[in-house]
Amino acid sequence: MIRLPAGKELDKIVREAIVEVAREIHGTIMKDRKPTLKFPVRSLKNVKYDPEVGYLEIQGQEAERTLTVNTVKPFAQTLRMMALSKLMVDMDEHATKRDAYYQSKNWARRGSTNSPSPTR
Amino acid sequence: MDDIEAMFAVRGVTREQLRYVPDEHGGAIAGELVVVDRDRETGEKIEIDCTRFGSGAYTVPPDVEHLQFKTKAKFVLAIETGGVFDRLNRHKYWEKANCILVAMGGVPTRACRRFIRRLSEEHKLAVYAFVDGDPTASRTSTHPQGRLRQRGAHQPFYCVPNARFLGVMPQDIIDYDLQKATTP
Repeated sequence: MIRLPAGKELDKIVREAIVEVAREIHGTIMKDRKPTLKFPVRSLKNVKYDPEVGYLEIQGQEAERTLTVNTVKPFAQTLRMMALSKLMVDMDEHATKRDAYYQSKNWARRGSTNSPSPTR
Repeated sequence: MDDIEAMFAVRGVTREQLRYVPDEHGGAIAGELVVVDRDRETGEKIEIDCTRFGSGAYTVPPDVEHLQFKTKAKFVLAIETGGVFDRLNRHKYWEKANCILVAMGGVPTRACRRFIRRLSEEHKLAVYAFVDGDPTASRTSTHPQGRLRQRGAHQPFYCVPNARFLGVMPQDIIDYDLQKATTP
């Protein structure tokens, strides 16, 4: 049985997971290298149905998103959403996906000094 | 958002735990079940008896991981449409059959699936997906069964492997001589 943790124990796990990814990116940048985010490939090629467990299990294939001029916006948006997630865990708050979507869109379009790049 | 979700899912963290919740509610529950929730401010336990909602029902919250369940029901009936759920709830079918009724409201939400999964695993309950006999419904029933490839990263949390289809298939119309009972 897969039992997920809840409460403060869970918050600690989530916070550590976000910080771990962020530290890795930060470390790579400090070494003057391009940071990379790795995601599991979500396609039929990367899942396997195991009748024993009764559901599709994701396999090991990963897609990479390296920070380049072309990927700066989605890369920054991903980091922004991670930061927002950590903030919400710290504050014990929630946001809807709709909130997150508009925050990410408006933030990237604003073109402020905090924005990673202008959108056009 | 999907990327972040997938990235953290392999670390055992779900979207709800990253504090992003859906807009829509997670389904409705009626029947032989007591949900033990907690007051977010005081931590005090709150027992919610799902037989005490009259013509209404308990609404599944976006994150169900902290909930505990008390039940002596024999099975969970996961119903596709609100109309059928309402009808069975009005007649207190849950009392007659000693079961838990779940309204999925079409394609079930993640919270609804996780709720059913936890119920079925923690209380060893059979789960029946009571859906229409059409292609959309058979797709709907695959959601609790967890056979959708797109959500491969999340299947360990959200699918219900022991969910079984319960409904009328087109072949049943012929096999059980139901032509007069169906519209052409």
